[in-house]
Order: sequence, then structure tokens, then C-alpha cells
Amino acid sequence: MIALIGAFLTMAGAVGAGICICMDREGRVRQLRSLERAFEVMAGEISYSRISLPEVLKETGEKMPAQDFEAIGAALCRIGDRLCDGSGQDVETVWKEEMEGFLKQTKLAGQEKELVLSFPSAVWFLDGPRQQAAVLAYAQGMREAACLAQKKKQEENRLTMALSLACGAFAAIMLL
Amino acid sequence: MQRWEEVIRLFPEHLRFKWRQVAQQGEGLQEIRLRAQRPVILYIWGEEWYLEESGRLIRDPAGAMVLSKEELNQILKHICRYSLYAYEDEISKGYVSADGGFRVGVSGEVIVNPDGSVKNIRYISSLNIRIAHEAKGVAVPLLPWLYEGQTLKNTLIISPPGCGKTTLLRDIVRLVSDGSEMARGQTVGVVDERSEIAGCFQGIPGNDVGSRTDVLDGCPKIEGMMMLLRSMAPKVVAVDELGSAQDVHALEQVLKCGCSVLATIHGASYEELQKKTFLKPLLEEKAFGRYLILGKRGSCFLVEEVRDENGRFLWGQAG
Repeated sequence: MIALIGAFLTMAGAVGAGICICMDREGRVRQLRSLERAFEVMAGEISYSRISLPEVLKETGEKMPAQDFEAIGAALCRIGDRLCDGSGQDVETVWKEEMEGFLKQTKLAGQEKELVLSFPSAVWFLDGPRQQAAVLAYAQGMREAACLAQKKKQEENRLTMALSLACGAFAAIMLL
Repeated sequence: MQRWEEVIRLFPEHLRFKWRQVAQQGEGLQEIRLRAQRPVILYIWGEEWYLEESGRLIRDPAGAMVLSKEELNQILKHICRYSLYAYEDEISKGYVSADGGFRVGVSGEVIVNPDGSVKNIRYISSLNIRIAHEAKGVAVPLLPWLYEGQTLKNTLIISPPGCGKTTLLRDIVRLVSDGSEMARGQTVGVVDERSEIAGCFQGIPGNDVGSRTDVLDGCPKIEGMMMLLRSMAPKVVAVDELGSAQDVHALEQVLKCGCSVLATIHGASYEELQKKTFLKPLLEEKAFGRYLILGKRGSCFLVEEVRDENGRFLWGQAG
């Protein structure tokens, strides 16, 4: 009886571990979608209200959905505030410091993190439409990464679940 | 915040050590001329100074710091809050309004529209940071000439460039708005086409223009005067740098509405004013009750003449 319970728990543990790994992947897709949305909102603010970058960042941060606000929204608000506080720090430094902190909490891949960190290089356009296009290119980059991650997630999730079931079954058999 | 702190905030953090001594010149600092691959030139109390790499002010151009294109761009980016697109309209007019009420002139390669108008400036290679000064109280001795009872006379300030006409206008606006020994405070509408009078940043005046003053910032004079009349019901309208027949026409409309007018114009003398054909209608109608003619003596700027509507001296050379 105890062996049966042990085998059942082992199986459940293995499946649970598989589900956790799958949820991690889901989280990455969601974070990429949040970043895509953030860049889209920023582009909209640039095009519509023509406000300066620090204000764009603050407005965008506040407009992010509540579940995302704690992470990306708060980071954008902090960047906006720091650029306005008169300390004179440049956008590259402030963006890097704040976004590195935010990216540490995410499950983004190295290339995706690099793309996010490279954003300050895109804020040097004389006219609104080109600046908007440059920001939208980042949204597009995030969208592509999210699509790829979504596709990969489905394939990998199947494999992960199969493997976790197999491992669980193997361990259970060994226990019995 | 002290003025020197506002000046130092025009520069990015990593360059501030070079500009600390410059900023501390306070009231004397008039202009900072930045040109790519050229020495930095400063105008302090009307005299030319240079900046050493260490941040020390020197008189000899031989030891002057040559500004790199990279540094110029960093300063411009910082002044524009990394948002050149947000300053597109201002840059196309040749300037940028910075925090603290400063106006930064820009020049470089001009992009022209098919109709010949200026679209924008790219490859910006020169910046002229004009340090806005508030000379509070300079207009107080002039007030007895500007009022007739409680009514402010229409006043035109005439001055060559750089002799303080905007500074004087700003102080008159403040005194009229807040009230003085001569009269109670009145509602003043300011059309600040180049953000020089009120020094607005994001709509909020950086300079003290009085508690009853409404500012239309960055608005063309002609449209601005009409907008103020329609919406803000000012008792006094103030505009800087009359320069065209359209400006004069708009001013006539303001006068017809019973508002008093405070205005400035480029010019060296009252006589020179008579030669400006676009101004003739106002001069013939004797629309201005007072003319204040400014001049420069040494490094000091002063009101050299006060004249009435007929051009008679009330004070000055023959007064």
C-alpha cells in the first residue's frame, strides 16, 4: 500500500514538475506580449501627444495593465522619473540600470534582453513619424519573439510533459 | 532653485564639472555659444570668455576647450530630454525651449519643404544658450510714465538686439499683473511666440510674470492675440518683437477691443521707427502713448529715452 502511494506521489511530482516548466514558458510569452504592448503604447504617445520621452515612459508605465504594472509598468515609471529629476543622468545609463533589474525577474532569452536594452539607441529622431516607427520596430521585435516563443512553447511543452510522465512512470516502476 | 543650479541642469551629469564655474557667474552670464569642433565662447557682463578643459574661465582663446561633435550632441540630447521629435516645431523655427526658462538657439543644415519653408534642421552644429534673466524691479522707476490714472498707456519698447527689451517687458508685465503703487493688478495676456517672455516649460512659466497673467506659449502672435481676446478677456496684451504688417493688423484689433498693449520692436531709435512702413498705421493713429527706447552704456543696459505719443521727450536726452 505504502509503495503504491509512493509510486502515485512520484508520478504526481514528475507531472507537477513538467507543468511548472510549461508554465515558465507561458510566463515568457506573456512577458514578451507585455513588452510588445508597452512599446506600442509608447509609439502611440509619441505620435498622438508628442510629449517628451520621460513623460512617454511615465504615461506608458501607468497605462500598463495592473498585472503587468508591478514589473514593466513600474520600471518605465521609474525611468521617466529619473530622467526628470534633474540629476542629469543620460537615458542609456538610466534605462540600463532599471531594465536590467526588471529583466532579471523575467524569463526572457539573452537575445530578447539585448533587444530591450538596446532601446536608447533608437531615440534620436528629429521627427515624430520616424521616432514612432523606430519604437514600433521594437514592438515588432517583441511580437516576433513572442510568436516564436509561443510556437516553441507548444512543441517543448508536449516533449516536457511526455518526458515528465515517462520519468515519473520509470521512477514509480522502480519503487514498486 | 538658484539660477546657477538651473544653468548647471542644462548639462548632462558627466559634463557638469566643466560647467560649474560658468553657471556660478549668475546674473553676469548672458550667453553660452557651443559650436562643434570650435572653442566654447561665453558672454559674461558683455565680455567674451573662453572655457578651459578643466572648467576654468580664461580670456585667451589659445587654451580654450574645443567642443567635440559628440559632446554637442550629448548636450542637445539632454536639453531636449532625449526627445528631439517633441521639439520638431521649435527646431524648425531655430530654437529649443529648455527647463528653467532658457532659450537655446540652434543652427545646422536646414531641410526645406518643396514650398520653400523650413521643415527642420539636421546635423545641428551650433547651440546658443541664452540665459534668461529676471531683472525684477527694473521697470518700477518707469511706472509713473506708463500709467494715466489707473489706465496703462499702450507702450512700445524699442531696442537693438541684446539690450534687454524682453527683460524689461517681462518686468512691466509682472508689475501690471501683480499691481503696484500706481495701479491695482490687472489681467494680462502674453503671447509668447518664442517662449522668451515667460520662459514656459511644458506650459508653466519659468519666469515670474505675475499672478494675473495668462501665457499662450509658442503661439504665433497674430493667432495668439485673437485667441486671448476671445477666451481670456485680458485687460492688457503683451507681445514681443513686432515685425510685420500682419502683427500690426492684429494689434489694431486688440486696441479696438479696448485692451492696453505692451509690445517690443527691434530698432535703435525713435527716428528709425518712423522708417518702418508696416508700423505707419499705428504711428499715424498715435496708438502708442509711450515709447521706451533702450540702449547700452558699457556693459549696462538702460532706458535712454521715454517719449509720448507725439514723440516728445518725457525723459532722456532732451527731457
